[in-house]
Amino acid sequence: MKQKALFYISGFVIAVVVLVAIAAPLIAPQDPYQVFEGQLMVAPLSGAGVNGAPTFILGSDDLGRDLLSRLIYGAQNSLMIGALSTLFSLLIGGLLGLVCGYWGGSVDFVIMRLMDLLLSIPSTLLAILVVAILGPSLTNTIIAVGVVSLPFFVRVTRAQVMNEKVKDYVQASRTMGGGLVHVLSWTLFPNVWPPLLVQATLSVSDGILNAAALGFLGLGAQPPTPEWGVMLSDGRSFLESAWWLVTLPGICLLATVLCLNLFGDGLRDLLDPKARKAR
Amino acid sequence: MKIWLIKRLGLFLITAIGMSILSFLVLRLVPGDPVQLLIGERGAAPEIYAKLRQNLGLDRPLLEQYFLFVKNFLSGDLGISIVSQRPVWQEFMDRFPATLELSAFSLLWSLPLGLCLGILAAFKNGTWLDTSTMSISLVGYSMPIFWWGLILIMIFSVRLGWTPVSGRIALMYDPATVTGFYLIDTLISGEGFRSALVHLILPAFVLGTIPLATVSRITRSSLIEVLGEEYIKALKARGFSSKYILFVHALRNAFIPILTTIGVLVGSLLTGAILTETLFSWPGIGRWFVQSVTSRDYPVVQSGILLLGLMITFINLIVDSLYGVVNPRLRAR
Repeated sequence: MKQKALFYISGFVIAVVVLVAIAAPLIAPQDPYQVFEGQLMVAPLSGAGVNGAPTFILGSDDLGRDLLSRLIYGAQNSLMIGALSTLFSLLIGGLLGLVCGYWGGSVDFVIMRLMDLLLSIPSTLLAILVVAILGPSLTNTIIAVGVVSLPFFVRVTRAQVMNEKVKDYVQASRTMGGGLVHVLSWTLFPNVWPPLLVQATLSVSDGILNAAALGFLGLGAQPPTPEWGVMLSDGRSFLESAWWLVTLPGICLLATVLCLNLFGDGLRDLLDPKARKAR
Repeated sequence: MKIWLIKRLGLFLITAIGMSILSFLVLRLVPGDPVQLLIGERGAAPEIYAKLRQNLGLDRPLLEQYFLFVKNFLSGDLGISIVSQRPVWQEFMDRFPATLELSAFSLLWSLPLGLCLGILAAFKNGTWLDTSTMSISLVGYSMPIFWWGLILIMIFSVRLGWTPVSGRIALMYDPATVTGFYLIDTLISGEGFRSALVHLILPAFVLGTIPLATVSRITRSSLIEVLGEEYIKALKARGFSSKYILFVHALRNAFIPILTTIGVLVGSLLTGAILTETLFSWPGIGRWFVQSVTSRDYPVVQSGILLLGLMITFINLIVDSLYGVVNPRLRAR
């Protein structure tokens, strides 16, 4: 029962974050890039009136920008990175996994050794490696983070396909004259996707975390882009004077990642009752 | 066991070759001309350009470049750092003890604690103790550790002033290098031990957070699974004490997934240190690596990735071979 409650709560929080991200231009009180002169590091809920500056609900940063607006647009960026990188690895990884699982043989061997190679390099290092090649930017962050989660999708899809392809209904579909595309997309795919969905949820949270880490190291999104990792890195110099600059972006990051992980766990329990006992 | 070992070694070799190709390609896959990128927008005289190109070995055919790279690597020549003009190997060895000391210290507290918490949670499955341990572990698992470190610095270094904000030791001390571990070196030289220790506490705490969360989680889940097995019930029925069952039978059988996790953790610690070291200005290989990527110090990036990758793969190989020690059933295969 408690598990269910957590699942719904985390789902609700994610829905809110997604809504905020989509509606960012409507609900953000200020332009996230607009600099208010003479309003540097204003504490939350103060700074009204001077020089026509607005009230900074969550304070302003070291350049006089509205923190709340930057956090809202940060949600947009973080979710976009998480979603696009997952889409990247889901499409490519899913396809590779399908090929590996369905045909096997030497293609399978080569692709799987390549994936083992990617898996043996720890995620942060691998992401940095990709950035070292492509150069730091928001787009390249998406690719780097996508590459990191690629092997997991290949593995999950491959295992699932290998499990399913020997079953009678696949045989039947082939016997009835189903072409390759038909068998793969209409017969196999509907039975392969549930674990992929779980993997995707967890991959979004990993992606957001990895992207923020890259941003923090100065190798991801570049300032002045409002991205949570970049904002944390910027706020580092003001630990003493402006606590809100480091506290708030981190809380947003933690809450989003935590809820995505909880949601993924809940989803797995829902889709795969066998796993329920083990954890 | 022998065949199994040969198989593992073969896989290790394949991975190593793959890694050498991957790290070799880093420099070659950079869009545009890496030499031009190094020189910058202002450009340089053609002689300097040609010399730099030659130094990086980029003037030869690709295949020859690769074999030369592997040959040099195996003979210990990892190239010269462009930024410091010192051999990459020397730069690496200067920094490696710092990372090792930090990693070892963070495992020293997080592994035993994680194991204990996991065992306790599995044993008291369903009680408030279990729930709270697992909630903390879940939060720790999702924690962006660079933020966690910032918060701890804000509280303990800035507000309370208990620990220093960054660095490895106070500037006034410069312990003679004996082992490279400051904790030991300062004890030998007789001064600065306290300084080295307080500098180490916070980074080690931050770096150990994720291992703590992961280990306690996996210990609990694999122990709960084992405790539900028939033979545990049989032991209970025969009247053995629950402590005996736990420590002599259950734990040993639950240990394989735990060991795997620890192996992965040790590998990722070496690079998890990237964030922690950057945050605390800890002079280890993680921070060095990030700086090299930022300053496009390609020889360092190229050899550094290969060196780290090989070390991590090797650690995993050792962990794999430990399975047989923990679980005799695997030895027979």
